[in-house]
Amino acid sequence: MILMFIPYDKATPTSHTQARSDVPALELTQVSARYPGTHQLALQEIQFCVKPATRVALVGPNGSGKSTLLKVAAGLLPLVSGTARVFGEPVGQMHARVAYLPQRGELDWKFPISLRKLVLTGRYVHLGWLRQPSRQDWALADEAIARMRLTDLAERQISELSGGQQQRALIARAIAQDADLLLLDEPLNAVDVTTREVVSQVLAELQQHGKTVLIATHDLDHLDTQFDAALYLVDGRQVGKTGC
Amino acid sequence: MNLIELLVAPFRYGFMQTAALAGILVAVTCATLGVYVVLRRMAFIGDALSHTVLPGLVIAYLNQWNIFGGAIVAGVLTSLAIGWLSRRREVREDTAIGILFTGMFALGILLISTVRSFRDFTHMLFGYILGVTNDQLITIGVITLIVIVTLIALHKELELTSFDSLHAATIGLRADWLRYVLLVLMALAVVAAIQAVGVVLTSALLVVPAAAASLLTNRLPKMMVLSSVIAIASALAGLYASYYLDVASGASIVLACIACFAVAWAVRAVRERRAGY
Repeated sequence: MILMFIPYDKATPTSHTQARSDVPALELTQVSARYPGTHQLALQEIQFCVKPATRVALVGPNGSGKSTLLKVAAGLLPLVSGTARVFGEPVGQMHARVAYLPQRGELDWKFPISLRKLVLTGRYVHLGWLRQPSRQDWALADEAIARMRLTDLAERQISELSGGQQQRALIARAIAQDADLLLLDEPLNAVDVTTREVVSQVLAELQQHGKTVLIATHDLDHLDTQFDAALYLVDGRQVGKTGC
Repeated sequence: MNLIELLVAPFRYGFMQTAALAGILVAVTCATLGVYVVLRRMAFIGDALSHTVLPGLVIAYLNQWNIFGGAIVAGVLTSLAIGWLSRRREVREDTAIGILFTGMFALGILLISTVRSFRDFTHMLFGYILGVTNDQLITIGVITLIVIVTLIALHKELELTSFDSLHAATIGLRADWLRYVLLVLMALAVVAAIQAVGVVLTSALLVVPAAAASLLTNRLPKMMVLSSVIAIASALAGLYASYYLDVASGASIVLACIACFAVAWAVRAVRERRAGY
């Protein structure tokens, strides 16, 4: 039985429109934001723009607002002021095109689920309520797992994966989702050499295929070689300007 | 009397057949839902829900309404109130649960104290599965159906929001809505279980079989099946104990669950020792 597609959020157009090169992947205009239940602004008047098919770094010390900015871009944090747009639409309305990879500690890695099933959850935004994953969805998940060189571990429980393998699994999920904007929160923090190599290679390939990647990172050594632009944050404020 | 006769003899009576059927339905309902309760660390809320339905039960009894209806209303209202109180984070969820849990239970006790005979309410507090009527059996069956169908229909959403609420939110899936659904299902399960083990012990059916199953497997569907098997075995063991030893059926069922948990714990310990942990 084929069920009608019922999106999780009615405001969400889930069909993949081709990314237009003149529309920024992410555009923040005078954005200020704070966490619920707090009074202090975690981001203040950020003016930031990311061109499509680029790789951009978010740099700054701990607590500077890197993770907050990614959460704003993912539509997870309401704005106090300003506007935030993803591919020309207000954030929170392009769910299928945005993949957010939090820091590893924000998931319950002890939950009894296999790596393959975790990656499959990347397809859920295309399924909506009630519809079950098809063979094609499973095949896309397997393809993404292979791309992150995790095929041998596909049936392993996520609790049994190393930190680097968990990070690769999350990137595989973003690939399975076929998102156009990837928001990665310190993906290379404390990971093994293999993971570093695979992640760097896959992110470069994704960029070549028109995907946009925004990465929060502490790694200042490769900013010039691996990124097209960088935004520096200190105490929730940007240092310098990054425009499209 | 041989073993087969021992096993069959209690079920020559109609009330024992009804009790067994009710026990199996309640076991399956609580055990499958209980897996989410355990994995999402909602054991405290399960305990609270089972106590907060008491005023609903008493009010319905005093007005000669359907007591299941009263319990369902109280349980669902409590679920929604907990979610509402804790949604803006001014009050932490465990605090909200603590306030409603004690407040509603106290209200139930207060209402009971207005009635001259406390005895009428002992079955509500401690359960009496042998007294399940056909109407109550139908209500339990309907609750079981609602819970199982909802869990199957929303499996992928409940699973995702259980371990990665951020991804769920990013794709537009409201984890708080799923939580409300789960709370309402828990309220329904509690109502079904109260007849079997009573207000005081109901949370045991939600927590113990699932906790035992989680020690034996780390696959979610298998965990649900195993949890159901443990709960059904405990329900039947409790009934046999009640029949042959003339002891309280609700307490027997819960103690059987605890015994299963102890066995699961031992099995896990042996496995880990063999694996060299």
